[in-house]
Amino acid sequence: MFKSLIFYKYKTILILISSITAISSIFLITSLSGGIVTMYSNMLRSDGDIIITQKGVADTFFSDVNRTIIPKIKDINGVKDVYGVIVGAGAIGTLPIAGIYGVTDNRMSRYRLLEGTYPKNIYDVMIGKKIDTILNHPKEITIFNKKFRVVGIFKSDIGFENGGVVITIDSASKMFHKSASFLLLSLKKLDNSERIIDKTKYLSKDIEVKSTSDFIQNYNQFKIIKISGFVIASISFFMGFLSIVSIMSIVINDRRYEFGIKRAMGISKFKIIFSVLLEVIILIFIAYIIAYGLSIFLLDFLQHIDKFQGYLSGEITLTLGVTILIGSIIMGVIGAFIPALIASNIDPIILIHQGN
Amino acid sequence: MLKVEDLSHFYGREKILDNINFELKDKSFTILTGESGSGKTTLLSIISTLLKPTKGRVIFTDISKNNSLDTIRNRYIGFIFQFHYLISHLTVLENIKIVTT
Repeated sequence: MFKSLIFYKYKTILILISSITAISSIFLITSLSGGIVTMYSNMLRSDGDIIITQKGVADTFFSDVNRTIIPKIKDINGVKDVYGVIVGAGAIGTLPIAGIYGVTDNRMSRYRLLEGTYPKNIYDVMIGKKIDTILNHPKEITIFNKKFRVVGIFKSDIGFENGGVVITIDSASKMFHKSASFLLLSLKKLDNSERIIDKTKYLSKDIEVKSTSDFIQNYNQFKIIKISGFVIASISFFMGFLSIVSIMSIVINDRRYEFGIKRAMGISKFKIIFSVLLEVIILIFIAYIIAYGLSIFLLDFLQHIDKFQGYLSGEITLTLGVTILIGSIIMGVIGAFIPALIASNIDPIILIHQGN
Repeated sequence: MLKVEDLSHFYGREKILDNINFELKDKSFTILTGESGSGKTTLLSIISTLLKPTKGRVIFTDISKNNSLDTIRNRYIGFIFQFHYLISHLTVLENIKIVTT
């Protein structure tokens, strides 16, 4: 079997290259789209068991929640703390766009300080490690034509936050003309969440209160990212499938003579189909291992490109790895099945009539 | 014993074999002769199960009942072609071993 693969080495290499390209694309697209969802989910989940957004506004970027209800929420039995967050984006220094996070004082400690202090005044800013590198350790930066004094540099476990800046919520409030994008509630005990959600809802008719996990599951932006990722990954899968079908069809045509001899020798159709599929499965498995290594390298490489400001952060989980392995083998088996069927149906009589 | 019954074969509309009947006993040695194009290769192809006849049948006594055509060809029939047929990327031994794969 390996002799056939080696003998037809150019076609074997073609199958390998097309499979590696397809599998790597699937790996990169799914892990990068999953990475963005995971990063934003983690940002919401950190210290946030319950999330409050503006009623009827599906996107946290456009949501506006009045922060004056924070003291009332804190009075509800079982609430540990309440955090206000404004998420926005804008031109920062020479960067055309970067994330701007306005947070209440009690949420500042989430950001690991590498240097300096947390912002306290309206023109103070704390910048992410990546922004600090990109802008070459600035002492002050301009956001929306206003100068801010860099008081600290932070590092966050959530990749894209490192490519953004953190200011006080009052400052962000003036900048984006809103009170808060959303409020996050941390609870003393998670069992109380249903009761606290009900009580919080009565505080204002303009708010929507959900458990953070429920919010993440139903968040439209995540659905769009996931569906887009799935569609692009499916296209890659289909391209890989088409490559295997076309290259295998050429391979089978080149090997008609070999399969004709095998059929003449009484090798069953099933054995011929099985041997062709096995060859493809071996090739796909080799392609998978190479694509896996390549994807890990590329993901690591992308994460370290400052230009992307930490937004491109993907992780290949065990579930994703196994799913793509199974998907790749299915792609190979389906793609090679029709050529294998053609190989098994080669009429051995052509050998006798065609001569050598 | 090999039994050929009412065997006819067409290539398109052209009749190559017309109602052939004969029996060959075990361990017998038979020579088939004929003019070029008379249907010798076609008849041998049908007997060796490489080709399905248009009409009639070939019976291998004691073998036909329990075996598929592939198995009969693989285990019980030896066929020397007019030309040599070898898979070029395999060694001679590997070519011979194809039968047992």
